[in-house]
Amino acid sequence: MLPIGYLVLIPLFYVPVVLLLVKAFQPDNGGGAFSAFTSVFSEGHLLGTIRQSFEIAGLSFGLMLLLGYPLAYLVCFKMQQRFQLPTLLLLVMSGSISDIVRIFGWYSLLGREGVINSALMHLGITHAPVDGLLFSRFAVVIVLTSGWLPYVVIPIYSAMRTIEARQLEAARDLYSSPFATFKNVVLPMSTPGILGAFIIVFIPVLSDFATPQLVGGPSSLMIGNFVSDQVLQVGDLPAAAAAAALLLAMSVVLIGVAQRVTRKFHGG
Amino acid sequence: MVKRRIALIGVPVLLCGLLSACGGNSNGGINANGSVTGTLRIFSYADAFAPNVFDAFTKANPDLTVEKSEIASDDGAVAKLKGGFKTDVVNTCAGPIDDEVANGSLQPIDTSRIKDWNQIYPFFTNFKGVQSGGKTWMLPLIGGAYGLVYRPSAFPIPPTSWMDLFTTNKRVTSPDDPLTNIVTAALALGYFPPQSMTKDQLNNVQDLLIKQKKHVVTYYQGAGAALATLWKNDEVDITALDLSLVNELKGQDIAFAPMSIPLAYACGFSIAKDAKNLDAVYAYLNYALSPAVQTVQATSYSYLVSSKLTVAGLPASVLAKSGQKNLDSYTKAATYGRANDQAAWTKLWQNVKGS
Amino acid sequence: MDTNTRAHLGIAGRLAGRLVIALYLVGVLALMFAPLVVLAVFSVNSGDSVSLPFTGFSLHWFHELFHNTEAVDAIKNSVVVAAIVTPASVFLGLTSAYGTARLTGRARAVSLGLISIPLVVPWLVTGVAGLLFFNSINVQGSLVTVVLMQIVVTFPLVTLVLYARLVGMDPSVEEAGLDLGSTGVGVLFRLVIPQLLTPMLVGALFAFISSLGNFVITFFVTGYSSTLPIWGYSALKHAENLPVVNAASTVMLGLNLVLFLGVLLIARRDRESVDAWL
Repeated sequence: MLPIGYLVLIPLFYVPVVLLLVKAFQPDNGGGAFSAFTSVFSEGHLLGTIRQSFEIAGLSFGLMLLLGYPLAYLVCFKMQQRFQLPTLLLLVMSGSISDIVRIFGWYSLLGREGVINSALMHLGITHAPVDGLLFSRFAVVIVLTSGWLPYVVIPIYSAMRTIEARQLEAARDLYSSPFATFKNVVLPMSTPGILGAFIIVFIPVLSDFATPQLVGGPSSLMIGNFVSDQVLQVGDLPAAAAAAALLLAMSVVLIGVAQRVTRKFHGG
Repeated sequence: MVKRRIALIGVPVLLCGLLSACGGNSNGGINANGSVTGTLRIFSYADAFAPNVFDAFTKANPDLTVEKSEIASDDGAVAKLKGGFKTDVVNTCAGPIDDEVANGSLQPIDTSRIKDWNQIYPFFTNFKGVQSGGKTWMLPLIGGAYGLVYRPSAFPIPPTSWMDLFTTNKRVTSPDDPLTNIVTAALALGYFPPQSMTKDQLNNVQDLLIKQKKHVVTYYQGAGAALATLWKNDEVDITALDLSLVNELKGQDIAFAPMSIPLAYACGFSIAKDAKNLDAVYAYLNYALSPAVQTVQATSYSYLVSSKLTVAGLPASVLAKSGQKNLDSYTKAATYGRANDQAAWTKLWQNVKGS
Repeated sequence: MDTNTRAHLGIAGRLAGRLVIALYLVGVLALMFAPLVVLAVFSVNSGDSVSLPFTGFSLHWFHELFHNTEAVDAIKNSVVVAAIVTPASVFLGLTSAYGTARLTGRARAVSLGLISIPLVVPWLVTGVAGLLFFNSINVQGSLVTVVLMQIVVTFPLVTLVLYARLVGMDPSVEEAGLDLGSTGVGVLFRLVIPQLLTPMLVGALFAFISSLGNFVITFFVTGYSSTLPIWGYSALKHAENLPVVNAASTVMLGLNLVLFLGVLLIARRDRESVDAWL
């Protein structure tokens, strides 16, 4: 059954991407493979950009887990069953407006004359608009968290659903505190969900370029911005491919590490 | 097992069948009444397809099938053409057109087939990128001249030179595009023409842009709507731009300061490398240059328009609003065109953004 | 402290706990839905901008939208594409998640990795790669290529959503099924899918919404058919189009809402089986 997915992925994803990489690394195309890699690394600021990407993605994913994990827990264990599906679907609904337009919603919310500042001033909490809600690292983290939160909640919820009532009962009998139950049963059982969330969210966020560009101000560049600039502004496919390959390598390492960690907790 | 093998072969075959069904393109011709037939493929910003701009063309050529593909950004269009996207007519501008010519995405225009070519202002025909290597690559249709757009409440004394964009401590914004930034910095430093700066001059430009960066709120992305929203939300005080935004936000806290040497741009249509139905292509180019179409461009978007025939019919108020009456005074303008050493410019811009 | 006070404190504590949870839920929902609400509200603003002040109620922008044939075509195309991408992604996601979950050890890790990589490669690169590839095999861009490339980046998402549920599922149920003589496919349909219906519905809505919003890949691989994000981005070159573009995306929001309610209605009518799925 597995091959059906690969039947789509191999011709439509792996072949094109490998062809692009091969094309980019041909010697007659901008100096070839290694010059593309060296030129990517000779960009002195790229390492800083990579570091910044990890910081932003890390902060955002951390905030998403902080907000999303309890949400998944509440929906899974504290909510009546008939409300669970509607709640999950509602979370997914939050992605309904494409990013291109949604960004204007954020401008109207976070801007100096936006909804939040207007409300703050109306209530007399501040007298002048608060700067830095928009065009800051704060804005990038908030916008990313808002957009990706459902993608964190749902895999974790799915993993929690696999915990059966009798397991929980047994745990409650075995451990005295709810915290111990959580630590010894719920958390380990939900790690595959965290792994799924990590793959679906952390890595794409790491390579995002639209959000930092639109709400991040002039200094919130991420590695994705570098890739997009190479493709769109510089027209340099080798450098873009080199950066994308680098991103890919980092992602594979990250997924590997995450799987190992999951296995340790989950034991699967 | 057998079933699975059939599936393995069947899916790709089915895919190919589906995919190839969507090719095909007829070569077209001309009817007795002069209307063109066949298929015409146009790759353009959505504004060219707006009903008040486009519908008269389809009405005049009822036997022509028009296929429209929308451009989302200049950079994206260049990349898509470079990637092999097939079309007939391309909406382009000075700047990106240099890349498109260099990439071999275009074919030259036969100006003898443009009826009113001689009615086009020299300002437009001489524009960098419109003609190069002895060939014409673009039918220039609209344009504009950048000065400084500023917020009068933040600038009681209007800015007077490009340097004001770099020495101000007010909130600056600028498009995320090497060209606008580098050219305005070059003009501020008095380097002309900006396209042929020396290495030392480029270094000074880079220093100036890096120094400016702490006052830059954002390098904005996505043209008109983004900038207008920033302006209305009181996020920014000054930027380099033409008159379009000032006219759009008329009556609000916004004004335009012309510069002695403006940064001028021009946009129009080019013919793609593998355009087939040339009769239809030229019919459309002639249509786009017609006063009926250009009048809409001038009145709705306050563009400068390229044809003297159009200008002759426009009311004085429209000409004043778009700055069309200044056109003859733009004898010396920096043009929105690629640098002689493009790699150095993109590298410079990457350095500024990464700093 | 007498027992009475302690009981009061207990109730107070529980109330405080409830309050904290309520505040937290409101906060999270606000974070997720605030931009949507703001945009939907501004879509009926009579003013010509998507920002404060709110100048009055008007359906003017919707009226203008429905008279713009380009925009209406783009909306139709978006819906058609999403309507194909969604079931395809759920089908591929289900088979891939099931297949991967049944592997063990290294093979499972590799398979999960291979299916996840399309989510990891920047979509800009995937889009350009797709364009170059289709061009090299002489295939013109069209809604077909859009559908194919969207499936490539959407079904892995559904796979991961389903995989998280499948990997913790008790394999003994399946084994019992196999022992009773069912084939692999039979087990999938009779024993696995019923347990997966919730994540499948969620994954389907994910796929639908992700397809509607896809911009980068669609831009590169489409031919002469626009989807809403492409038309919208192109129209936003001019500031005056922002309210119409916003109206268009509000229409999409409404459409998703209808779909959402539709799914709920089906779920309600069939309460018993839904409870069984959960």
